[in-house]
Amino acid sequence: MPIRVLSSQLAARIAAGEVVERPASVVKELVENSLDAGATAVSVEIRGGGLELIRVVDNGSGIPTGEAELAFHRFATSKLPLDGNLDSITTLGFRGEALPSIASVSNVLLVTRPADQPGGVVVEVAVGDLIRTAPHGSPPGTSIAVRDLFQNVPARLKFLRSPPAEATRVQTVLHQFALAFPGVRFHLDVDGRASFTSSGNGDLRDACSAVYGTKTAKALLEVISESDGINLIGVHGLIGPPDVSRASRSYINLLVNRRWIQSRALTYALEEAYQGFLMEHRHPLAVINITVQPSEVDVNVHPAKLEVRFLHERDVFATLQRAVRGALVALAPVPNVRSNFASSRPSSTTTARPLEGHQSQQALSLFAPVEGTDTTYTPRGIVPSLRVLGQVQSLYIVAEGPEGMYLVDQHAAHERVLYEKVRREISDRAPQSQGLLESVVVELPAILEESLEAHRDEWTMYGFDLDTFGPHSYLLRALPASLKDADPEEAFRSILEEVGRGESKIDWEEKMVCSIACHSAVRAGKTLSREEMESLLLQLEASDQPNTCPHGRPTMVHLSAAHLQREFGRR
Amino acid sequence: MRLSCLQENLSRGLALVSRAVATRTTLPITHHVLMETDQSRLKLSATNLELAITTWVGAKVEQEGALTIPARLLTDFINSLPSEQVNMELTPRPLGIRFQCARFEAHINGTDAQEFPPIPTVEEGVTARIDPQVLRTAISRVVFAAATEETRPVLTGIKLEISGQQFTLAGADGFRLAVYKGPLLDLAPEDAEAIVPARTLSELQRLLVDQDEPVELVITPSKSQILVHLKGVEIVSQLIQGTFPNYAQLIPQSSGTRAVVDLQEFSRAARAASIFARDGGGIVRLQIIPGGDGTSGKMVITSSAEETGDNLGEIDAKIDGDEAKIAFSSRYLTDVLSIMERGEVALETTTPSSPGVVKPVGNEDYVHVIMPMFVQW
Repeated sequence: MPIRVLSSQLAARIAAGEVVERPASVVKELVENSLDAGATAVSVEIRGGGLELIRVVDNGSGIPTGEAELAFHRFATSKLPLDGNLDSITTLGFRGEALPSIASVSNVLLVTRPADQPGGVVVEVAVGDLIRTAPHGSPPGTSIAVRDLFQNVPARLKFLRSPPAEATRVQTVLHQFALAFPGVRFHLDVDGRASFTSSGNGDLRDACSAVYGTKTAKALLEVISESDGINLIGVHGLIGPPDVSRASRSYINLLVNRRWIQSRALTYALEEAYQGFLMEHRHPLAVINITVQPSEVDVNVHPAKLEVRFLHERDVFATLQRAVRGALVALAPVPNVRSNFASSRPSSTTTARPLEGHQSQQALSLFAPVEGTDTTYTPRGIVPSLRVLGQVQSLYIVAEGPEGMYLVDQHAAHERVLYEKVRREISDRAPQSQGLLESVVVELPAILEESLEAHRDEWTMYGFDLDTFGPHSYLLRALPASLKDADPEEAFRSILEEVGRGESKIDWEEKMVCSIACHSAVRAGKTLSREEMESLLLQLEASDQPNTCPHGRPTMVHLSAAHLQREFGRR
Repeated sequence: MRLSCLQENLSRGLALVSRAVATRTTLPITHHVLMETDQSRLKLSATNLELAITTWVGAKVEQEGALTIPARLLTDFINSLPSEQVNMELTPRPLGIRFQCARFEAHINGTDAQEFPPIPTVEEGVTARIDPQVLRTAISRVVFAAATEETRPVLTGIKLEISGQQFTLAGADGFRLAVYKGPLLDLAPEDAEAIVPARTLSELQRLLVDQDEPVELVITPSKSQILVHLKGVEIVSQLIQGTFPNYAQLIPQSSGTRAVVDLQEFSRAARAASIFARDGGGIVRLQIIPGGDGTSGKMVITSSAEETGDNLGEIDAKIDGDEAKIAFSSRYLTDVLSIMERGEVALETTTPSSPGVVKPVGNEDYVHVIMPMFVQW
């Protein structure tokens, strides 16, 4: 076949494939246009999962009558000045592709009026062909209706999911916008029913409340790292305390200059900051906006602009991690003891029937723990004031402190203390190694032997003195001093199994320190004397991150005075 | 059951047996003390199922009988009575004992004696007789070296060996070893060995303080129990089953350096160092420096903690062999120095990673081996 230039219609349909993947991407593009037009209220309506109808109505600047038709031309945009500079983009869109792409795969009806014009205009486009342009009455702003999406792309239709599933994706997009633009009021109607509304009052916590519920929003911790003269990177947002975690990463919202993005690297940086705060396979909830100079970031990596590249990536990651970690240590409160109020207070169960939409969030707040005061106590803040009362189940230290009772998990707390101790010893290159009275011969299966040999020198650095003792056997002559109360062979074997080869050096070291701490720590089930308990709390007080054990379990929980009073019917 | 005895005798008897009363237990009856008439005496027994202590109090028995009474309550009550005659009478309903002393009267509820765990009786076995003060010293020298954690149960016990004219006690916790050898009063009829819980020996050590008659040890042929006969007191303890490390091969037979120092000076320097060692993970470093021409040898003891500060102590030492360095856990060092008797002690070492040996000078009865900490010098 000879080489031909594609017809403009065909080219548009191919381009649409990249930008307009599914109804949610149409909504994303249209809402971005609304936001770039300075809208403060954006209302979205969808029917049939967005395939029948997507309507986006905003109160933005509108399109002047003379330019409305032009908007449907490819690479036509008002967002870049003539000979504009792609290095300093401040709008969400700029490529001039979205509207023509959408119009090429659907029927679009655009009604718009700038506030300073007496009348508006209607433009109708059917599958890429202009049907009519006519004067039309309209409130200020733009209303755009997209019908019969993908009618001319049957292949795409086949890959769409059910209308409810597509509607959920649309809702997710609206959630992302609501979190990125707390100053804009968003509303979503699905098949004639209101499914989501944000207040648009500019408060990020209120936006989180609309998306994730009041109780969760209330618990979130504020992260602030202002850009200063030297570091031009700002980090602002709300993050979940360690006890508000999720089983998937889909609750991590990363924004760059208010643009919702996907970034494995930034997500990794965030999760690293949570290292030791969350249990394995749990992920944080976060809404974080990273502000960088527009010239420092390239958003033009992909037509949908979900990926970005930073000029100074390391600085961005470091700033994000520092800010998040700082907030966690400084603000994460001692988690409260949760109780099932529905079962403990029979009278309330009648109101606990399922409700729909955001109403259920209000209902939930009835069951939120009663706060005695608004003061929250961080482990760092309260440990020094704890008074040991006793021990429960040879496992938890019971202590009295400000605003009620605190339970400290003796193993988790000791693990934290030892973890930091071992870390310090290693960084000082002074591991404390205690010789064994009787050297222990340990025979290892091939797989463990391989793990050991992969890091042979490091094992010595951590205080294990090992000699090769014939095939597959080793002579263990000394142990890290912390492990003194453990059975040497058993501890060595368990640590070797837990640590394995490690995915990377950092991963291996982290596992090693965790494992030594875990096997050295006072076991659950050991009865402690009062002196031992007090000494443990003193050590915890001195630790850098007393909130959690190295695996992310909390070291302590709080049973508030208010909670006790309510349980005893005192109020 | 009806009898009477003197308050001070009863009080002393209860104080003895209450050492065996269980403190934490799921079996409430072990909080009780068994009171039983035994010919013209009152027999008191208590047990925590591992250890049982029995003693006898002179009494005027009018009617035989037995009952168990909560130990703590009974002891507190008897101790509060005047030093006069205590009359006791069993009451069937409610089951208990009525006490009367001077112008005090009390009734304490009890439980049927049948429900009390049987105190094992030891009929036969290998018997050894030891001077009570020798045994007390022997226990004090080894018992602290036993492990306190249950990770290796045999190490929570003390190995007892009886052979010929000699007994040996050995304790180890995986990082240190203490061995004491002492004389038997008679030739042992046959060799025997057992692992005695360290807790049992600690209790025995306490009871030995005011003993002057020879102590008789009987190990049952099945090696499941040991009986200790003291004057007026009997202790029966379960033995720990298992294999104790072959400790003899853990004692180095030779050394590269031998430093002889005054125990009191060494003790003082070690204690001073241990104060600074607390933060630094408890490491005390010893440097043994032989004297040159005209100067005497010395031992330098140092410790440091990053946040606290550091410390250096020097003591005179008579040194055979080369200069040497060794680091110990400060607790292990102060433990052994604190139980030795005044005089001179020898510290024998070879390399910084081979065991250090502490011995009294001029006496072969005691050897203490400490495994060093492997540190950067």
